[in-house]
Amino acid sequence: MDANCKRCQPLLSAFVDNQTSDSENQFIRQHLQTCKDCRAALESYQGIRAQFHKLNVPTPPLELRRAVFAQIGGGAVPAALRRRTSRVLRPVFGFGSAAIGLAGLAIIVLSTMLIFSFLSRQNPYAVADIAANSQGITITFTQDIDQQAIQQKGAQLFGAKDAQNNPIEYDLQVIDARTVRLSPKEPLAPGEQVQVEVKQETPNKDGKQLQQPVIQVKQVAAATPTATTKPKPTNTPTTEAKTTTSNATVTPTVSGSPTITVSVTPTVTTVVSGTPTMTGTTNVGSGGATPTVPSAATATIVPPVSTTPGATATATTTVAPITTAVPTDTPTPNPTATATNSPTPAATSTPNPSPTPACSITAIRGFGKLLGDNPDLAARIGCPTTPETSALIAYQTYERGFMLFDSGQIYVISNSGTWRAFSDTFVIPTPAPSVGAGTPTPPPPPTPNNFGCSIIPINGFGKLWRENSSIRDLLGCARAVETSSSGAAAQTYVNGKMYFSPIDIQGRRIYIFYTGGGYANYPDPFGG
Amino acid sequence: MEQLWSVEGHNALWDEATLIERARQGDEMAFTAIYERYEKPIYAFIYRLMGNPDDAFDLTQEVFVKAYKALAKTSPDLNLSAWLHRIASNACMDVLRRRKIVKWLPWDPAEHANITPATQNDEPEYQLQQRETRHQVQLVLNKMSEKYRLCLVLREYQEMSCDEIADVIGVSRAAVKSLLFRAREQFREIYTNMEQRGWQTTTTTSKLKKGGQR
Repeated sequence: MDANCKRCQPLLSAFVDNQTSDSENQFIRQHLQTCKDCRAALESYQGIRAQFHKLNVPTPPLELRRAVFAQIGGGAVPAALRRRTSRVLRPVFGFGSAAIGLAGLAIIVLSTMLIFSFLSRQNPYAVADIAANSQGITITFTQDIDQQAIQQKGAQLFGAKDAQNNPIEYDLQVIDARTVRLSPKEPLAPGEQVQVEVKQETPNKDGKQLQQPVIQVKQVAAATPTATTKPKPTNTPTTEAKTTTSNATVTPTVSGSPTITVSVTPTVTTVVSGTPTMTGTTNVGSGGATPTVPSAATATIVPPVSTTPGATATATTTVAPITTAVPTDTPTPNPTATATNSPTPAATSTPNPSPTPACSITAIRGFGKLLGDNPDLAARIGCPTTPETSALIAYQTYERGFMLFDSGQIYVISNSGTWRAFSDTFVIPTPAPSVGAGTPTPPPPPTPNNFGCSIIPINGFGKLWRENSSIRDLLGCARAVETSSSGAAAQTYVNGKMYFSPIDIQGRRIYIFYTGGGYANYPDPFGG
Repeated sequence: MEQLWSVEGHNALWDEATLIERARQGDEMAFTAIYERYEKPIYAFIYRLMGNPDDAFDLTQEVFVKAYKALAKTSPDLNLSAWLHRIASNACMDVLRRRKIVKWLPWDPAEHANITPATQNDEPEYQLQQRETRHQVQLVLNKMSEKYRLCLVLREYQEMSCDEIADVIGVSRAAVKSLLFRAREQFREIYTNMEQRGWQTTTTTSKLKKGGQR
């Protein structure tokens, strides 16, 4: 490890936290091109983040709330909320009982054994819908369930509580292969809120458990809208309301057929390879569909849009009521809450025409919002295959497009809506390795030829642009010098890659590079 | 990964400042709403720091009881999230430090079996987690020093910014950057070590060995 590495590694840590300055980014970028150890360190720091993103969020046991409110005194449960306190306060289910624990363990072991053999990407096993009316609570799954096991262990797998957090006693019925009904002993009052929990161990007919447990608060629907009995605060909803909505609140009850089939026409079915590597030759990210361009040779730009789309593929997307949101300290207000306060008959609801596919990794922040607001984009690009990572990018705008550098790759983007990627073959000349000399200065462009442009691109952009007349023809002259930022973000998807750039000439933008060469950009919708 | 928790009532409609103000004046509904907002993130945070559900249960309870009692004494511009995380961090650090002292006593496996975090037998969730990486991150966390563990969990799991972390743990932003760097290096080192040992000798056996040498 030399002095540069010693300086670089703390900076790399700061870099993944967006805490580096432009000059530090410049240093990092130069150092990374020559230092394998520091590249490994950066990958490792990003890997740590990716691993944390894979951790699940444990659900607090239902008893926790009672334990807390029991301690802060009887006064903590307001008189208005004590309507049902005459009932025996007994948890519907919980970790408390040894018998339940053993039975649960058996299910868990069984499920764990079977889980890998039944992984299905198109149709993950999840709760499709939960609906409540005065007769009961109907829970619909996306796959056939193990009816016998559910009938037997029902009380351990489902829970229902009223707004005062008292358990609701119910009888369990399996209605059909995918539907379960909890019929309360006392009818539910329309407008009342009930909290419904479906435990992760609830098995499907293959013995597999749910992707994740579900807890939802539902308002009991009635045939005719009635005034809600809940005290309604006079405050208006906060202006910060984001559009992360729960599908569950708008999805109608579709008994028996909880899946909706959506046709999408993917341009290319190849999966973009993960993080582009720093080394190696040209990596165009679209499989074998695009020609390899030797680094120093002249490149001919073949418009990749013409990639033949295969036969129209059909993807089955399930209506999952689970909005996968980022764990956040201030839960997002649900903008649909006001609409659902006056219950409407389920039959009149219109189905959400663009169900969000349940992805195992969730797009967050700007990416998440853009895809959430534009279901057609979400359908085209598919699910994320990696968590969002911070990126150090360089950017330069040209007459007819721009260049973007990230992790050893240079993307050439034409305003006509296509992109190509090239590996950055530019090497910063370094002094003799034995001498611990100061920071190297990039030499002036070696060629006096300015190609008729007032700004000559430098570094990797310059090398690519100077050596490839087709790229020069495509992009034209640079309109500004290159800039770089560590505040960028990137995420790989099934059908492409998304970048967030804070330094686009038009301001904060999101670029979408579709596998196969399609390109589009949008203003960043995040944070106003 | 994150399940939906939608509360279609007052909770969704009240902004946080209003909730705090009402809770301060003794409005129990408002405190309940605060509890609903923060129960899950605080529980998850403590779970990752302590590595087991029993501690997460006890300490989350402690945090909200403390918060309930102390809320009236807070300043009007309270940053609720940072404040609750601060209470939680202090509670966890206290327990972790106390246990570290216990570890210096002569080792009795029977007596100390229950303090080994995240043992495989008594943790239902442990069984539920199918992916190996999930275990591994928690196993590595359990071996990290408290302060580094705290910083890393706040940054990578709670996804706080360096400024927010500085606010929670009461140090400068520069100190947070430095802590995070050292925490990541420690995480790397422990991860590599455990990976080389095949992740098996991570629970009671290694601790026993360690204790035996002392």
